[in-house]
Amino acid sequence: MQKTQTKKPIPSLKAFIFVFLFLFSSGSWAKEFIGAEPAIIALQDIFPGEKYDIYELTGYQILIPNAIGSRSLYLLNVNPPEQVRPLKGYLPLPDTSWFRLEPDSLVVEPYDTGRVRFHIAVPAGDEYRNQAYQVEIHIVRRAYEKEKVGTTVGIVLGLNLEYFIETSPYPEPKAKPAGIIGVVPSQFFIRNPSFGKDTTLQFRVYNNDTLEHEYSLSVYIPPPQDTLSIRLDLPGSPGYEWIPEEKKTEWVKISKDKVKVKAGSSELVSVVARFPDLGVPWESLKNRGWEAVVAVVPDAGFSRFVRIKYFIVEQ
Amino acid sequence: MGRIIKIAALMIMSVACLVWAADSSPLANQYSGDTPGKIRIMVRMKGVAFSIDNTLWDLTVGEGLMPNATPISPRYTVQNDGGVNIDLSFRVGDSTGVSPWVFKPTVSFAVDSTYPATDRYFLEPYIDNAGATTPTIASFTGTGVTDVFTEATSSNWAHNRSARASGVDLPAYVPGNPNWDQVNMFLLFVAPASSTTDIDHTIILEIQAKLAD
Repeated sequence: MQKTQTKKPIPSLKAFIFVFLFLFSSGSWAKEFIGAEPAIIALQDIFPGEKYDIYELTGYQILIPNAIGSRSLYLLNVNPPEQVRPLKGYLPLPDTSWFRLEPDSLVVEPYDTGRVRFHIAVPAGDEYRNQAYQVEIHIVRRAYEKEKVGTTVGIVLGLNLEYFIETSPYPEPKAKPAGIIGVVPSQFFIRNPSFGKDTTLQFRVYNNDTLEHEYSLSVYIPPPQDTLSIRLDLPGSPGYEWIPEEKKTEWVKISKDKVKVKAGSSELVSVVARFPDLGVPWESLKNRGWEAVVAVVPDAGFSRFVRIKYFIVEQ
Repeated sequence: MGRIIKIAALMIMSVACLVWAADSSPLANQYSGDTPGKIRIMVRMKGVAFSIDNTLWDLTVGEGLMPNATPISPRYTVQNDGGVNIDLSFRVGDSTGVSPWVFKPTVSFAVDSTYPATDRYFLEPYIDNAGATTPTIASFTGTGVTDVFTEATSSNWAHNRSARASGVDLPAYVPGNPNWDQVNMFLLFVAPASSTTDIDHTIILEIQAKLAD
């Protein structure tokens, strides 16, 4: 179904969209163009069984600027899991119907911007808690039309947006996690930690494969990124900063660096989390949060991670 | 002038990178038991975008498409127009889905028997620096593209770039190196054994971009 989507003004984005379009329209040499934003969306605490209209909740939607002087038809789909090569730590979204695009095709007038909303609905069930999924949205501009009789090669442009969904963590789910690998819980919260105090945490690694696997365990801190060097990497949690890479072993100690898990079974892993003395009065750290990730990487197949979050708030 | 506009726009876009939470106090998150909590969202308001200067290669120009011909395409310039590094990957297919031609994924150029049979063809991209010389057939390795995300094959991957499983890495605009956000692409086509100029056939090459990892 093709239709032109009604424009919906978003005051906070107007200036950006203007600049975005101005930038792309300045390249008059280009005969074909495709673009879409945001480059990254990472959602946390999606609750299985709930339906989310992300635009209604947050105001965010996919923007597709048409920077050339002709009408453009865009087709969108969520790539099926077998086509997705996810970032380490994530599983491909197992069912594309859990992430619905509205519309999934649209015509955008020259120098206008198309807008696509998306809806998320992970099925109810404890097996879908503690999950981390990668969603790959494929957008292609259907511009090429056969112009000549005879054999021709026509080039069309497409892109993939990689978005992330983490479902709500829970330490005691009634069912083992879905997917070939699982961790329970997927997040720990350490509220108002004291300087130097150790907190022992335990999470379980589930091997839902038909083969035994050995999992490597390590503390992972993504390399720093700024606004000019954005890469596809494990996204941080809103409100939290990553613990310093060079001091990560002071903050998080894992009881072992490998764990073997039999097929269809699970094993416990212990972690000692310490909030080191940061050399400033504790009171000055209020309303700050820090996080680290324990990466669980098998000898073959998909990986997972466990977030460990420290935060200091008013008592 | 265009570059100045680009730099200004990139600076403004960098301000537009947002991290936003649906919950006004994101540090308060805890296990929410059987009750849905507020979702948290992190967004990078930058775009994945690129362009190409031409989208057509007419293979019937000149002598026409002879059986097992190996023409090399004119130069295409591919430019990263977004504010983030991107990975490019390629896939090829027929426009109609009912074509008499089927893609042949590999060819060994020194061995005639590996060339496409009557109902098959071969297509392979080559990536190099913007302004580089046109490659010869020896520059192509014969791997080709498949219908599932295979990177272009080339021993010279242009400025600061490399061939990886995730594709050809193309940086965003680099101040002081105005061509670094561009690459040139050439295509090698190997015609089927029976091809003639009479065959009316369209082959689609899709170039895909994604945020570089």
